[in-house]
Amino acid sequence: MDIYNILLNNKNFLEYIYAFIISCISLMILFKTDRYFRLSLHNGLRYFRNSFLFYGLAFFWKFILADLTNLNTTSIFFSQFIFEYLLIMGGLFLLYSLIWKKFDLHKITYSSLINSKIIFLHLIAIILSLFDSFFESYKFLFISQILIFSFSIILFFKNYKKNEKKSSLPKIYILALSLGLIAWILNFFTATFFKWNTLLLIDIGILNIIFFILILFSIFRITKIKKYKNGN
Amino acid sequence: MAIKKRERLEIIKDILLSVKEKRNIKPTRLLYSSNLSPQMFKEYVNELLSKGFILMNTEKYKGKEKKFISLTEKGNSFLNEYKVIENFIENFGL
Repeated sequence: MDIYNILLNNKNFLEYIYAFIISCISLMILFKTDRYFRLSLHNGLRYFRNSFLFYGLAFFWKFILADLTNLNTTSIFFSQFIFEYLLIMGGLFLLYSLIWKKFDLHKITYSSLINSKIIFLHLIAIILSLFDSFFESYKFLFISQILIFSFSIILFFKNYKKNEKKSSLPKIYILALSLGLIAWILNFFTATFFKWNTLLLIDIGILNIIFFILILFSIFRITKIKKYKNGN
Repeated sequence: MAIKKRERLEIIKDILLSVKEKRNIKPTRLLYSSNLSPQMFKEYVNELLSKGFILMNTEKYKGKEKKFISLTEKGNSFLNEYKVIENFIENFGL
């Protein structure tokens, strides 16, 4: 029996493990960046952390409700809505962490989760999640995430080109974003043309886990860098 | 040649470094070393005071009451961790 057959026979267990791993990685990202955010109160770092807060919550929600077979129609509608809303918000915050300077020129004195600009992100996420839940599809989620990741890669690459200091870590971030994009494109095709083929879904799950691990790895690398002692 | 505009975080680092080097520095001296307009300087100092990175002390200097700015433990931690914070911002395009 090959590994795929073992995985196919334990689909529900696999869903739990998958959601649990991503929730844990997101939590670790939040913990590892907490000290640096508290010291700097940097808005970009704040939105970057918000992104993983929402991703973490989305997969924690999925972890709790991995098995939807025992739920009634209303509960399925509600749980899908919540999961999609949290995922879309995660993606939107990731994109916003790259472009916040164009909108938030002044120091934030209000919440970064709900404010006059972020409310639009919530509205987009709610509308897209409602559409998908209503039509019982995931297309709005997939297309929005494909667009978000595409824009994020373009914006990040443009900023990277402008930056005089070149290190290997931005390349890892681009790689992570590209894997995220590939995973969302595959998700879209799997749902649309391959009737949620389980083998493809396993591969997508692996890609997603690699995406989160690469981000966590970059954060570990950054925090390992020798600390600034003399100001030079 | 155009001079690159300093980022907010870089300005904070420069102000804190000036305070650290002098240990106790007069606000006017700090203003000169910061290369900021008085208005901007006031905003940054207020922000650093509210964050608890610096302290404003009053001391007797040549018979007169003078204000001095000193670095707090939190301000020192910020300087120690600045490189890491800067790397976060650069490497994730934040």
